[in-house]
Amino acid sequence: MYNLQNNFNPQETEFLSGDEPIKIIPNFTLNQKLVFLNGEYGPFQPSIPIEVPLWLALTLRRQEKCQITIPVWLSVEFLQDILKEEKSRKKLSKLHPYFSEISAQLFEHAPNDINDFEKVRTLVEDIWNVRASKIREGIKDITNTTYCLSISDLTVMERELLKPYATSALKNIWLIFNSGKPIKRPNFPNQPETNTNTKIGTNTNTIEEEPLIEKEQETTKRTLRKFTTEDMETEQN
Amino acid sequence: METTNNITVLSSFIQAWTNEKNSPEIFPYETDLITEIRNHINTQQQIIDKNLEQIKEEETNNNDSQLMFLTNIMLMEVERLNYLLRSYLRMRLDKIEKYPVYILKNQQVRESLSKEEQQFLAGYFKLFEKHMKNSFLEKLPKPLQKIDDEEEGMVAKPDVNNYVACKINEDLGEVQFLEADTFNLTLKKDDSYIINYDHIKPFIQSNKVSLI
Repeated sequence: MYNLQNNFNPQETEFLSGDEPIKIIPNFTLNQKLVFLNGEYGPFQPSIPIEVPLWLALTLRRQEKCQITIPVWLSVEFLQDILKEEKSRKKLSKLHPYFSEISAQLFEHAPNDINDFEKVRTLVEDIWNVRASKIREGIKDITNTTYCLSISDLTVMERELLKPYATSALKNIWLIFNSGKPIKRPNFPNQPETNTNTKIGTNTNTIEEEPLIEKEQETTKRTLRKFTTEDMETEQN
Repeated sequence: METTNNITVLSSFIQAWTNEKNSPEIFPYETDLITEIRNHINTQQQIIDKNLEQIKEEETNNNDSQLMFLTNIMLMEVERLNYLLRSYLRMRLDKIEKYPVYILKNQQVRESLSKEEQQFLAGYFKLFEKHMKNSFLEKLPKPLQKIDDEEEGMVAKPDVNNYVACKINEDLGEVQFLEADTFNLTLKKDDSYIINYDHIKPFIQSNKVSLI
């Protein structure tokens, strides 16, 4: 069931990142206010910067009705500092939670608004790779007694990619860790309560059921034979 | 339009949506948030319809392209909200379909459902039971015909021991978790963990911990 997956796929995280505020410089006039659920976005005048949700900024940019002001954390200097920080220490640096999603969307729709586009793209990729290798190293620390995992500095994309693996791994560890201890189980008749190795064959109920099954098999055999003789008769005819 | 209230309506609804997505259990239905969102959608949809009619009537007018532009933006916002609502409702329906007998047997869980969801559950369970009976249950011996027998393990329950990712919203200090062995954890604000759902369940209701 698709709806019961416990994590967001990248399209959904991109959808969530759409509500993040970003500054744009419109080149059109709109004297009305845009009324959204999470606020009003005031009249738009050309060359006057205004803050709007990211989804709106990208729509306007696609129609070439604005210019997007790239956030500070996507500039070459800032990214170079972050990359140096990531490479020098084991801990993950603090990034914008929607770092991957926002940068991907801006690369796709507003490449011309970014200074040194190629350089920024390679820096973002390098940062992603360094963090990914750190996360992989961190996963190796999971032992058979791990009861929880600290994920404080991960961005949303990294967290959602990690979740399926981490949740099922930790669950299995929990099951193994707790397997020797008494767990409340439903009571099957004639079986001991806390025993995990039950011999089903010694249950007295099953012996009574056997003749019933045999009878059903006989009836099916008989009907099969009947079907084939009829077939043969029609063929002869 | 109250903007100060509405900033939190959307973010609280997204939090409720995220909680629902990550947890194996069904949370209480967010009636207030959903009514507010639906009201907003309805008012916007009325304006959109009015604008579209106006555009159809006036064919060549400079203001039209602006009206169309404005209407498109409003449509996009309404679409986004509709997607959130639909996803939220579908997740809950899927959970109801997965655990019908468990919900019917538990008064507390049943109260988490909205009225419409309870009707859905009743109808679904009737069909489910009828289908089971007609397929094979009638032909089984009498003691094995029950589909709501908890002792025999016939009732599917949500597994509260699934691991979930969560974020701590308040400083909770040192918390002791009881398990086969007890262990302590210092829960500080803005920390995130992947942890057994059963352990942080009591904190979620009071919003001290939220699932992410």
